[in-house]
Amino acid sequence: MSELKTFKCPNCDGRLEFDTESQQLKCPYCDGKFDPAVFDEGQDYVVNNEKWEDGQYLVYSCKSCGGTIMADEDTAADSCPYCGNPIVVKGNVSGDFKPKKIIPFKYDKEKAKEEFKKHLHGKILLPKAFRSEATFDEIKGIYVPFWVFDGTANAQMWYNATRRHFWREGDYDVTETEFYKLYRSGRVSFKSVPVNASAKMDSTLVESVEPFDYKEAKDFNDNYFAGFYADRYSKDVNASRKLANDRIVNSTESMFASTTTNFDTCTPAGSDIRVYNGKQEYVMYPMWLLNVKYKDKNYAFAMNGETGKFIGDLPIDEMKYRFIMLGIFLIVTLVLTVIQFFAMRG
Amino acid sequence: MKKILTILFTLLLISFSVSHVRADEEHLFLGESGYYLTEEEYRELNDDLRYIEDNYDIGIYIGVGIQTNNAQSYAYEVMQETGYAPEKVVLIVDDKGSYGLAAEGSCTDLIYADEVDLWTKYALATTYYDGIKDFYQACVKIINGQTYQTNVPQVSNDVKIYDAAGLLTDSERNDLQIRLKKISEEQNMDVVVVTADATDGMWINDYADDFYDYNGYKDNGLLLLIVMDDSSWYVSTKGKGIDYFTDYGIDLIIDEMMGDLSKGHFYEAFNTFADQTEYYIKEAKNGHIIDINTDPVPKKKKEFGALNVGISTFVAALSSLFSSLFLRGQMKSTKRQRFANSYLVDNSFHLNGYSDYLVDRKISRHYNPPQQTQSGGSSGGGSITHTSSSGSSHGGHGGHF
Repeated sequence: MSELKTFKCPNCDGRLEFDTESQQLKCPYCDGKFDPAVFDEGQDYVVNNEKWEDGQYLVYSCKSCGGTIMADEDTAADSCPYCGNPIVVKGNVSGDFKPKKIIPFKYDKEKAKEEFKKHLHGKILLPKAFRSEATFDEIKGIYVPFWVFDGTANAQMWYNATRRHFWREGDYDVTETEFYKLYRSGRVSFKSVPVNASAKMDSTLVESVEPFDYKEAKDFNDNYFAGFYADRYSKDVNASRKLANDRIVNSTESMFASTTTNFDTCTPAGSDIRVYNGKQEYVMYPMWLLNVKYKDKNYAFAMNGETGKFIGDLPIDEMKYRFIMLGIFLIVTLVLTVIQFFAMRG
Repeated sequence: MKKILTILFTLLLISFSVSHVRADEEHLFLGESGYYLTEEEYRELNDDLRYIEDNYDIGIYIGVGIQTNNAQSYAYEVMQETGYAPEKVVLIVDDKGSYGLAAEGSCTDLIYADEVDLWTKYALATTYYDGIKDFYQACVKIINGQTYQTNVPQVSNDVKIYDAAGLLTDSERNDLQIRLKKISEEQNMDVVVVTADATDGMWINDYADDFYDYNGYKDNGLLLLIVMDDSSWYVSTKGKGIDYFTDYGIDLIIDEMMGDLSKGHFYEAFNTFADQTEYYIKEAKNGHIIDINTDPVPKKKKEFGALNVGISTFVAALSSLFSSLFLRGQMKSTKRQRFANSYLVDNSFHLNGYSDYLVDRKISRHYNPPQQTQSGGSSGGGSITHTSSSGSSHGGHGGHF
């Protein structure tokens, strides 16, 4: 048993989708706009027959067109592959799976395409054909589930440091080296450190579009999902907390190290950092995923749906690379040799 | 009593030292020192006069500004009392400008015959220094012209490389001849290289000076002499060569050649000599004379060679490496986040414990004497000159390889 939610315009029965520009649910037919934070028609929950298939998928039938929607057990929001009608799997956004906050998409698909073009700009090693032949396999707006953690680190740090002085005594150069033991203690707080909670999402890709600004997050409402994809969390909160705390510890170490700069050398000699976690929350952050196909290979790009930060590794034209390196090497050698030759002839 | 003895003893010492200096060391005596010559000019001229006495057995004594009523009898007096050289000339100029000239030895008649000429040399010069020098050099010329027999080979002044020791092959000699002749003509200064097995009983400096003087080379130039029997070298300079090639500069040039000289690579060494000489002359003509006070020492640039290509290659490899890092780095934009700095709560960083304990202190001393840099004045720099057998000024410097 599962409930699906669809989004219908109360005025014209048209399909509602979240509009990034107005931050409203918008009906493309009658231009009706509704505030997603309060919109609730209530009548659109549909109880579907549900069955397992291959032990992996859940199968729903689309209320709009009767088509078959296949989704896995983590799916929280999807759309009908036939009519594009957005759906929300209520069971995956309620109860334990109900996110606390959501940052709505600020940028749409067009912006993602535009940023992709900009991303290719000025990349000398990019194969020439990539710009013309690469095709978008899929562009998806996804709400990625995150655990976010607050943490305060209480730290005690020890360092060995040296300071040198130089002077002359008669015909001697004198070097005095002072050896110090440094001690620092204190605390520093971090708020809403995010950890990717979806097993399906590549953490490298997800972390590369960081940071997300938690202050922009709204109270969760599944209306924000209209027109986007979403998964529920599939990673354990405790394992995630450890990842967040690792990052907090690393930052704490670097901040304390920055208080020891008035020495000539300084090396850590021990530390005791304890992170006290406060609030932890389950949130949804927006991200555009672009799968690009080029010469039968897939390249994944991503854009932060909140900030527009665009990332993704690009293929390298190795022939071109070698050619350029050889060219630089030969030209620099030649130019320097000629300059030296003439400089020496006076 | 004791006090009186001390005073007497001191007086005795002073009178002794004064008369001693006057008799054995000094060729020049001045009525009022500091007025006619600077201390340095005095020392230079006196050294040269002693050099002449040591080398050519000609003792020349000159007194300027002497308070006397009869300069001529004063001159006779000095000649009687002073010096052991077989040829002697004394010139005394009194404080009123009259002079007395006395001579002794085989050339007495010649000196007296040229008396007016000699006096004119002194009287027409613009400075006392020049006047004194012109006078005694003219004396040396007259006397040596009569008595001095040089042993240097007679060659045409067209010969710029004279290889009596046979250190070069014919083609090497031809190359060098062409090279040196070109420099000599372009720079209007003779640049000559001479090799010899031995100096036939002459001092090496006399040999070099004479070779230059008696073979009709230009008034400006220099000569490198290599003597094989005791592995010695000498560079003699003349005219502008004295100014352009300071003692320090000559040392620098020989330093450049030393490696080749000691290995017996004479052709290479002489080529270096030609390169350096040309460079020094050009620099000097541009107003830059290479001397001990020239800072920094502008050495003749090293030869272009494999090292330069090596440097170019190395820098090029570095350029490629950095370009590679930059260009490849451009293509990669994904990475895991190790830090949480973006999520730092503003002003939440508080230090409540802060201490720097000094636990140890080490002192090391490293001996590093200051660089030998001569500063100010002309001390140590320039060229020390002497008068050659033909009565002309030469600078020069020699040593062993």
